[in-house]
Amino acid sequence: MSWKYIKYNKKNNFAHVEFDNSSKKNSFNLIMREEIKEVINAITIDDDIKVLIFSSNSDNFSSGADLSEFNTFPSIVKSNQISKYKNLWIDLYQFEKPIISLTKGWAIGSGFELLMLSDFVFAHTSSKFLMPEVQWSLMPISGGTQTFVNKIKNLYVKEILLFSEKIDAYKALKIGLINYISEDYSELSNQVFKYAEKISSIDTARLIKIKKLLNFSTEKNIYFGKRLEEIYSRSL
Amino acid sequence: MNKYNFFKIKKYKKSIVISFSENNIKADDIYYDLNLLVDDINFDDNIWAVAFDFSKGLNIQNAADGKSIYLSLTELVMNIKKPTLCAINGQIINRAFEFILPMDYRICSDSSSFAMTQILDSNIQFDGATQLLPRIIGLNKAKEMIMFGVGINSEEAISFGLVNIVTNEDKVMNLMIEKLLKIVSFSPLATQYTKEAINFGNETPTVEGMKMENDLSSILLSSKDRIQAINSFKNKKSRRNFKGK
Repeated sequence: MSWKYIKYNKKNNFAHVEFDNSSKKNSFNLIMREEIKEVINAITIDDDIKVLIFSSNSDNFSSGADLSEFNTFPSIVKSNQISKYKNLWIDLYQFEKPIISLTKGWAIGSGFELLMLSDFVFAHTSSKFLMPEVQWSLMPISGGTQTFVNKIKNLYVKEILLFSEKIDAYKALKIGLINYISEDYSELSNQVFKYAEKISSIDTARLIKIKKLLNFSTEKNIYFGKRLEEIYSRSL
Repeated sequence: MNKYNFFKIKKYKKSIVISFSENNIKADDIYYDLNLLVDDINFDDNIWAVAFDFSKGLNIQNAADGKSIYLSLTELVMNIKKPTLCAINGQIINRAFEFILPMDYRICSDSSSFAMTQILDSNIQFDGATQLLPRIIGLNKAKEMIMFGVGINSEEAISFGLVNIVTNEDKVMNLMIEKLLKIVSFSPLATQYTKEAINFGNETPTVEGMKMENDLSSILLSSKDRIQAINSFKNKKSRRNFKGK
């Protein structure tokens, strides 16, 4: 099957989604979001696939939401309905298998937030991250206000989302936004596939349970989380 | 705005800088002033961000009669809907330390230090430290500071994520004003809603938080600022004249 804004490859046990919309700097328009949603729905039930990989085939990872689509909604209620009930980002948060993202150049807005919905982020040293929403009288809408809080310390969350500070790859590594950086992009992408291979040697049921438990640990109710851990470990 | 007994208010563009009229203050003295001030900040549409100036140090003490134990200052600061910054210098201990915890952006001088010694005086924290500090610097470090009374210097403060920036003593204020002017150049509705969503997100399941984020964002859809910002983006014009409407 061919897609308009993404390239989808299935290789061994990996699903590889490449953003392919370089003329618009990989901004997520409605169709592209639908395409990603279709892909992840398909691979959720594909037992062969154990890991999902996101990357870009141009110089930048993604420039976020497609602002040319803004202010074109028929009504605010409709817009709320669409963003709430056709929400790719909640699907990605609830996606059961590990997600690895490989980034370079700019990751802005939703692009940055997509990295925060990933479990592992590998970044080229050219990577730059920015949440520009407040500058345009918008606010993060791809889970940013929630996922950043789960990943990094509170003060940095506010620095990035509220004060809209630009973060480079080194600072991102230091504060725990990303896992690895490298100066050599092709070596980095080899590393991603090696990493994916390593993860996919683990039994899928176990992977899914561990991911769920780890996500649960950020959901605040530690007693329920511990109980779930007990139940899961008995059922393995 | 000189109706406060214990605060000096300095107006800046779309924002205010608050300092205490003296360095050693009693918690119950400033409580009613602070209450009034927080209301004023929340209802004044011309204030888009707030900064606290502690560049000459800060020391908050309990009243001798123990009355101030019922008066929570941090709760008042947490009620501020607009972004809050502070500039810190000197030794910040006990209630002063608790007072700075709910703020959104902290800048401190390299000679600053932070400690909570209540445990050593056979006392415990009652103004939010046990809840706020673990959320900011993580459980282990917070326990070390609260349960063992371990103090930290500015270097440790930045590595634990307690402060955003460490700088020279004489540059603290300038840097704070720079950040203050930066945040008031953004749309005030967007910054307020984002702050609300982040704080809410800290306390709720992620998916619920994401839905709430969506709802807040939909309210923003109807703001004049947003419509204007998107139009100026499409026409490649400058966007920096938000009205807060």
